[in-house]
Amino acid sequence: MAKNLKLKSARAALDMSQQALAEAVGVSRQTINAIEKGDYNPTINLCIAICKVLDKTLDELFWEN
Amino acid sequence: MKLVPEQTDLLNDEGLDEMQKTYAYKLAFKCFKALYWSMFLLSLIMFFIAIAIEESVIFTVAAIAIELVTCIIYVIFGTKASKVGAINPKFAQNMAKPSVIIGYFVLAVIYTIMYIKNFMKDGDFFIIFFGIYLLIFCGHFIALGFISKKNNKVIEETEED
Repeated sequence: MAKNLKLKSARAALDMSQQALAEAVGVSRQTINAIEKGDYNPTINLCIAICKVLDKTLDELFWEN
Repeated sequence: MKLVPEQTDLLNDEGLDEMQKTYAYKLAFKCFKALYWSMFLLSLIMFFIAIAIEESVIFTVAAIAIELVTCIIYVIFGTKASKVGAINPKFAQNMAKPSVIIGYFVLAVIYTIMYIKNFMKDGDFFIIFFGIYLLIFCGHFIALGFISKKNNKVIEETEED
């Protein structure tokens, strides 16, 4: 699975740490880390929660071009 | 300050998030599989030890008890998984075949007859207990056959409208 650089840059743009994003969506920091590294495929519910916190759409963060 | 630590264990999934649960469940599934075959192997080893040390009843009973518990847990897992159609489709297709269920049923009947004949005649220790051992094994496969049928039925019923 490819790295999710879109998620990483969207998080960085808001100056959020992995820990802060993890707390905002109710998961562990390791989960956010695994998603960004492409090691874990999150559920749609978690994707939506991340999108809401980062104020992005699913396409913007999780659609692979 | 808590003097007694909270009751928990390694297999407690409380507090794990979805990623941690996914990985933990995957690992637990593999460990369950390994445990299943290890228990069967252990029961067989105990059975042969029983024969080697002059027909020890304790080892024989232990071997049969281990096998029985292993089969029961496996069947419980299958029963629960079949309710949502979560059994391996290839396995379910093969096990649900009438020939498989009938085959194991015939074997079970043969072992029962063997068991009764030998038991009545005060027969050979090995045949009597190996009969029981194989009977449990056949019973568990017959149960898996019916569980697979249920699994396939659930899948058929939940196909798109």
